Amino acid sequence: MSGDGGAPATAAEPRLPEAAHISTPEGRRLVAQIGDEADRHGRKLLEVRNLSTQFFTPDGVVHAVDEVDFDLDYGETLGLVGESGCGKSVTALSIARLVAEPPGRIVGGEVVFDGIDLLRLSSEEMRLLRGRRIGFVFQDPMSSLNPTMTVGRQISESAAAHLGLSRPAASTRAADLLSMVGIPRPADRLGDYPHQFSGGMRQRVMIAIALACDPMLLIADEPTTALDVTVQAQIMELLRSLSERLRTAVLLITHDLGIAAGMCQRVCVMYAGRIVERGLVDDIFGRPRMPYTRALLDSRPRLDVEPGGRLRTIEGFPPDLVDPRPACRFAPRCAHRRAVCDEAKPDLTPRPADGEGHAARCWGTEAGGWIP
Amino acid sequence: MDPVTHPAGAAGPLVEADGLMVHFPILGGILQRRRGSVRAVDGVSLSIQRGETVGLVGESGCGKSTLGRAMIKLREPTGGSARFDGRDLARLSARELRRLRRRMQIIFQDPYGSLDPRMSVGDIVAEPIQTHRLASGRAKHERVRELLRLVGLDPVFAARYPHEFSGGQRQRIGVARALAVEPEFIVCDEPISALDVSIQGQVLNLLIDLRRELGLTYLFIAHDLAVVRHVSDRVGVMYLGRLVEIGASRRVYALPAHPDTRALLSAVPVADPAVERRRRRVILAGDVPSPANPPPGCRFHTRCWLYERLGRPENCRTVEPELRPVGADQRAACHYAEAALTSDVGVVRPADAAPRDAH
Repeated sequence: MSGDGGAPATAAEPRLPEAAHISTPEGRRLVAQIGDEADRHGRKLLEVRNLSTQFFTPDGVVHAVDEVDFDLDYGETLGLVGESGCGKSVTALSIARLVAEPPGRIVGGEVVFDGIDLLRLSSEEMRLLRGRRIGFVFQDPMSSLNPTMTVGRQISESAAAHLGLSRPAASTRAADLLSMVGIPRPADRLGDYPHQFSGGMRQRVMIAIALACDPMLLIADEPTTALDVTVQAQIMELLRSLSERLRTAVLLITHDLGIAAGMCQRVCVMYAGRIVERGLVDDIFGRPRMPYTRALLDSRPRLDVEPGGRLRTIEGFPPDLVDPRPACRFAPRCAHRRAVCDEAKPDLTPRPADGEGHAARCWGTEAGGWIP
Repeated sequence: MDPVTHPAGAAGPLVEADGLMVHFPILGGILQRRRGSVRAVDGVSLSIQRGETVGLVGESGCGKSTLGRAMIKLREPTGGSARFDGRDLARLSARELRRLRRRMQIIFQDPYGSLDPRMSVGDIVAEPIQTHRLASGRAKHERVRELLRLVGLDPVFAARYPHEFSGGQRQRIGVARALAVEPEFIVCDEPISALDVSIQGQVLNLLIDLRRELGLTYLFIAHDLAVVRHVSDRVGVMYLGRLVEIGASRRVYALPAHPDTRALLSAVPVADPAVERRRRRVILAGDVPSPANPPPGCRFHTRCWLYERLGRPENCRTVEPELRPVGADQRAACHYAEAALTSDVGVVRPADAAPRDAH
């Protein structure tokens, strides 16, 4: 393989000192407690239970995230897939307690991260935890990087603040991180500002900042949507190799089914604020049990399928989430719709015949349903 | 649609670029003197037959959008020529050009930015009809309703404003406006890339249906290689202002002859986990160099995987390759196109046509 997709072997593996500099006793307890491998007792890294987030707007209450429920295992890459407005980004922001309040509010559920319910933490405790244990990579690195600060300072500040490193140690760590994300001549680039980097290189810098404290979870929200396909391939390769090497779990939010297919072990498909299907990546793509998933897969031309004829499209458009229908939200656009779809809300129920852990929210594919 | 307004098409291409160049000046210093130029399009020849759809792909900054605009004189070429129906656009009087404009239209990527928010949908679609004095009064009103129906919108929407519509509907409004003047040629510049996945297919189907119903000719510019293959008879690949490969879609996607085409294809994610696991990707190093200062010799050599594999042959650094025939209806600008053709880099085969993972 050519190129700088992989990180150089010389890069230092991030090794963290104890969290000595954390200021509050609660915070110290929190950071010490979280991440203890001996104390996992078979639980998952992230257990999201019935999470609901709403936005209170002049037009009404927007049910952006509606009883979302999933697990993410230590070191696993999970895809949250769906179209804009389906609630995938708000789900990620809710997990990190970054929903702007008002107008938003998490109205119910639990977000259990390494055994601790994040929704019960104070905002100060949450702030500590975010920098230390959860890293973020967003679509547009320019809007998350500080344009007036060198990238070296942006990386080392994070490392210094959360890890209690001295300035020289933090600076060394910043260079190591830049090298790890494949930026050539890292020591020379520490003094550069974000605008001196190309789009792809900026996204690498964002990844370096996100990984500065060796987080257990990396939330990547459409990390390559603004990039060219060739640069996208570089960044995806980088995320894949880093998450494997550092054993960082990744919550990957994307509208691109191809990216989810190549990156994730498991996938949750969201539609209109709800998870409508979830399972292992091969089962979701090979045996989708929710007509929306099937239709999404069919609605785009693919390089691995000979072109010809019309695309099978999904008519209409996603529903307004102010006062959404209680029944199946996809039914108005569904080719398999029957009366029950408009009358009652389908639950996310197991489809054991179609893969371990496979679940779908569809009356038609329930046992005895009418969709083959 | 009434074909009477269109002069009977003679033989020969409908649209033709010949050595077309668009260079933008780089100004600098307090006197804003010209310091150099960005060679956005740097000598491209391309002809499009009547009824044909030519796709144009390439990374951002490769010049594909600028080329599309220059071909209909929305950008002033700085060299070479653009012809429409045999007439050199640079030699037309303002009046002649205005008359010809009716026959060539453009659909933009951004359905939000390209519609005036203060105009009703009816007025937006009617504007070009008025400008070209194609109809007035009741007939104009009827024509707007007909156009909205043609693109799959309810004619009652004519009284509404753009903000009341979703992205896909706004793109339909943009299409209706482009069709209002009964064009023969439409430059589709990333027409679906701002839309949601479920909506992209709807607009793509619409464009394909309209092409058949109205006998349209398209230049279809997009970064999505799968979408371009779906709509195009022929496809061109651009890199740093140059056309590096062009040929029949079937041929180019099955047997790409330029290393850049293969690299682009290799980078496209495929929505099948089994295919993704099996694929061997070439990942291009770094970013596209600046079009103000393209590398000498072959512009692609600084990122080329084949150049590395062949042990960095000297002529790649010193001699700019010509676009030359490399197969039936296929040309590529690579000294080593024959080696690229026999490589298996980048070509995606269907999962069921290939052996399952052996290990």
